[in-house]
Amino acid sequence: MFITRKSLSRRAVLRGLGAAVALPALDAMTPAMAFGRTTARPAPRLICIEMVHGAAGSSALGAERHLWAPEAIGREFDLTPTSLNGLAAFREHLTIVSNTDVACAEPYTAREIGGDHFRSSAVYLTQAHPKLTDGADVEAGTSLDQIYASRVGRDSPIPSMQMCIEDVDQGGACGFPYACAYTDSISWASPTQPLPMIRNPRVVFDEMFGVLGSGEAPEQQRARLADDRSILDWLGTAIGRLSRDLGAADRRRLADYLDNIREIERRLQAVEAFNRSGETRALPTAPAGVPDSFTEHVRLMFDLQLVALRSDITRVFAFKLGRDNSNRVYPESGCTGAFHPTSHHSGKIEKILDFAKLNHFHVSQLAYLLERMRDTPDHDGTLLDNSVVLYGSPMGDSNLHNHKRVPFLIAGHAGGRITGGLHIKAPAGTPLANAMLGVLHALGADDVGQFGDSEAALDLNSFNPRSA
Amino acid sequence: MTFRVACAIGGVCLMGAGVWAEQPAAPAPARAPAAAPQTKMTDAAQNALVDTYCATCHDTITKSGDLVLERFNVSSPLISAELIEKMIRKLRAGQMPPGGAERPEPEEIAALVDALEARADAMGARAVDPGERPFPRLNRAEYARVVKDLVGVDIDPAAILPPDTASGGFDNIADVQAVSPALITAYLRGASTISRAALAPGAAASRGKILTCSPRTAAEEAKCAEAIVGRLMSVAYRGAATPEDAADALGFYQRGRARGTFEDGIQLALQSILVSPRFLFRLEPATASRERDDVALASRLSFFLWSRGPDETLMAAARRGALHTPAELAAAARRMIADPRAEALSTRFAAQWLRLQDLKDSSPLGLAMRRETELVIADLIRRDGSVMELITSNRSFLNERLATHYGIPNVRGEAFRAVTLPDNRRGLLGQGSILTLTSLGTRTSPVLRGKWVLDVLLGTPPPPPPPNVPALDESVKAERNGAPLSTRQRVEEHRKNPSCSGCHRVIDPPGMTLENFGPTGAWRAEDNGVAIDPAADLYDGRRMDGAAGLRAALVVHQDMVLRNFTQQLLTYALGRRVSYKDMPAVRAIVRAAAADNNRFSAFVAGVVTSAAFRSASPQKEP
Repeated sequence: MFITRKSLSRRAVLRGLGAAVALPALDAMTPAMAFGRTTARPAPRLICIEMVHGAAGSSALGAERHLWAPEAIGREFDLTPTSLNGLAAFREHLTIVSNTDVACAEPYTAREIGGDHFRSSAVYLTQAHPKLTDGADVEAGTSLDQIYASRVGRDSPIPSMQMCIEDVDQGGACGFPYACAYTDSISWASPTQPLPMIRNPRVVFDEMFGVLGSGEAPEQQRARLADDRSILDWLGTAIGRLSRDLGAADRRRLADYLDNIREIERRLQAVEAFNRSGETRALPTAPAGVPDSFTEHVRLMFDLQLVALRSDITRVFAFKLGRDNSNRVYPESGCTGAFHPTSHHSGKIEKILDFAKLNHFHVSQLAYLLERMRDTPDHDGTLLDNSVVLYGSPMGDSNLHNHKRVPFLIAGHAGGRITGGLHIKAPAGTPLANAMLGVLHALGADDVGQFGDSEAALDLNSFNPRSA
Repeated sequence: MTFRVACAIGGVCLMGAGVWAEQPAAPAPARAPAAAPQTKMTDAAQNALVDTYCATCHDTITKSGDLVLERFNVSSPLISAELIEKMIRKLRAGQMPPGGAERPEPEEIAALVDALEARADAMGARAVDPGERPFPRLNRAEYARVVKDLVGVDIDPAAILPPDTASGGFDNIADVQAVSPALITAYLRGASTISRAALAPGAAASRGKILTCSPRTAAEEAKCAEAIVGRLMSVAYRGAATPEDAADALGFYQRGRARGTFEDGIQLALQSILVSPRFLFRLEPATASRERDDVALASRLSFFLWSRGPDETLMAAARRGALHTPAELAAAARRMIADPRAEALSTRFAAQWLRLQDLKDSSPLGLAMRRETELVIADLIRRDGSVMELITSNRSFLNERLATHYGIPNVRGEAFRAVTLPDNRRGLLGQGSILTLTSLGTRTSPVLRGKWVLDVLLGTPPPPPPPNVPALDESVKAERNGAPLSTRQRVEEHRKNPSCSGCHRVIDPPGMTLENFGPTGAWRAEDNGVAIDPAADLYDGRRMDGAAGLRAALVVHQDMVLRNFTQQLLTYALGRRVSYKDMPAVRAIVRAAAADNNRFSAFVAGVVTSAAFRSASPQKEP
């Protein structure tokens, strides 16, 4: 199968109509991409989304008003007062897990007090306590997406991808003695390897389709792939030669580089195997860059994720929607304040309600993704049936910088292992890691016995009426 | 009458937690420090002073600032240089003992800190540790410049490469430059895209730069390819190309030629060069020879001063061994900072040091503000003026938009031109860029401005606020009993909270002196209908009347300003975070620069002749 630029370019159409240049809806461009090569049920796909700064509903007053989790537990919940109301159309696909804590994001020592904003994101998907350092000796845990990618990632050309919305260049943003990696990334390949999150949709696109080819004629593409392979081959020998002159630490660093080269070689081989299957696939138009609008940017990233999932380029995504201490204003939310100051609501109800508008706006972005996943056939069901989408924050009450009763929800059914349409209220003090361990099990990683500070896997299909 | 500050109840700002974390890595002094200043204060007197004035709060129970000075014994062989450097920073800045606490006479503090510095310098001289860092890779900004030099193509590196992880305030710190599949893919795709774009029909400039010969016969092709690839490699590999490298690149030429045209061959050779570790990484051989050392030094110099590879003049000097002595290095640096390519020192080094990236305003006014700061610094470097001019100078560059904003008449058009500023606009603290990036949208923030002064100019960052502290907007309304409140009045109200006052009486005053500048730096006499009161007391008790008062205070504390500037410059130059072990070198650079009127070039010379900069980054064996 070859990827060619056959499909309609919406950008070209818009230009033709004289409209303001909009970003292409990538999903509409890719009719030939969904190809379901195998008859076996594919492994569930996973998208892990983080939003920073907790939620209004995690404050005492916000919880009373059910601003995050609905009042009723079980199946008869009402989303109306909650920040999740924008997902009402998908309630049967939601598993809301409320009342869990992220204890690993709390300060452990006096020196760590006040560092919550710089530490939290590293905890979200690792549920491990980051080591206090501003150097290269960072240490947290292996993140949930990477645990899963290490199992299913090798079946697709790109094992996992990392994307984000906010820039990482804030001056003095990592002034507290926490390395920027803790603030920048939620995805950790190992406890010492944070992965970069890519903000520019163009770079994401090139990572996805650069590997697969960029819309050339089959002969050209074959030649180019062969060139790429020969260059990668050569790099192996060249690195060996260069290493001779270097000191031990630099040799190790170059060996890391070589490992990554080998990984890219593996991806190219996977692509060539794809291509030998003979069918022609269309390639979407490349996005131009970073949209100014938050919604447009998020949707474009979702579009890219959908394209990748449909074409099985990758099965695992980590997606960071915000950055701690961000002063971004979201004009479409109805809240005029900047994100970080608004999150410090002083425990006053009118300020809490204002912050809830931001939460509602952020959560509602998911509807765009879920709708498309629900409408995408996948094996014997839909993409949403065969996927898990996580959305949450490692902070709880942002005004207090605590990590209790954090916002968290699951969408999708993991190929039938998650029923959905459920609000589970965990007993007080339950680690969020329990819910995440439950997610890993639902994804088929049943043998994982412990994740972060988990005590036991939370059953995602039942609720205990007494815990209300 | 003396009294002791109540140290346990949040009355004191636990500053300095963020100055350097307990990271083992690091470096040290340049050369043996200049003769340490002779001090008359005996060890016993130093210990007594510390015991009397410091150990009450810095005891084993309260541990203010995570620092214990109980039973402090300066003559102990076990005394830690890290501890001494912490004390020096606080004492030299005049921030300790804190306001409200009993203080010794200023002469006594000066004598103590002189003695501590002499001791730290001597300890550094006994154990010279130039520090280490792994090899750096090309970051986004360097990649764009190097590609431009090599093939003449302008690229947007943010559309090709993943973001650079910042550390120590800069984007070029080697040890946090992790490799990932995303990065490798990006470099591979970049090489493919750039090599094709550079040779595309119509790309006249880049084609001319690359195709330095054009073979008319098949027989001429090999020779021409060799010449082209040879030039590309000498630039791309920064003088490190070997015959094996040449054979490799020509192998790719032949591969491309075999399946296409002559230019297809050149394109593939170029693509391979653009992904070579010799291009992407600044490898420095551990097996040293004088010439290889000098070639490596040429790259260090050019990436420090230009954010790009060495030019032919610099390479030639390295090849003939004329980049070896301190005098040769300093001379090379002087030539380079007079070159237009030194723009990177203002657009990259100074921009990151001053945090200009936080100025997110991309309107014509916002862009003009950023440009003003960059031009002022570029001008300072070109004239080789005193670094203290950054605080005091009335020389600037404005276009009509920004001049109008400042209320300065007779500047027309979009082009920037030299302008003599009125006194209230002197220095960085009168610039729209700094005043805007330290404001919060529609209001000023004396807190953010004060924090910027303490952190960015003085190198004494305050700690982050503890949790559960309400932000100003929520805690204090903009009016009281129907009467409007100014931002200053609201900040003062906020500070009445005892859990806030310890830090905020240190942080806020420098910001309060700048209240005549509105949230975008426009001059104002009133705020919310209340007349501006720009007077405030610095943490050392000094009265500051408005921006002029703050500038005067910074000149009084110029030692701290210049040390911090040097520390930032050294961090950026070395591509690693500096630590307490580097402070003797920092002080030596500052002393030497003082003897040369604090000229910019004197700091650069001090940095490039330091042991840390010159010595090959040594490798710890595993």
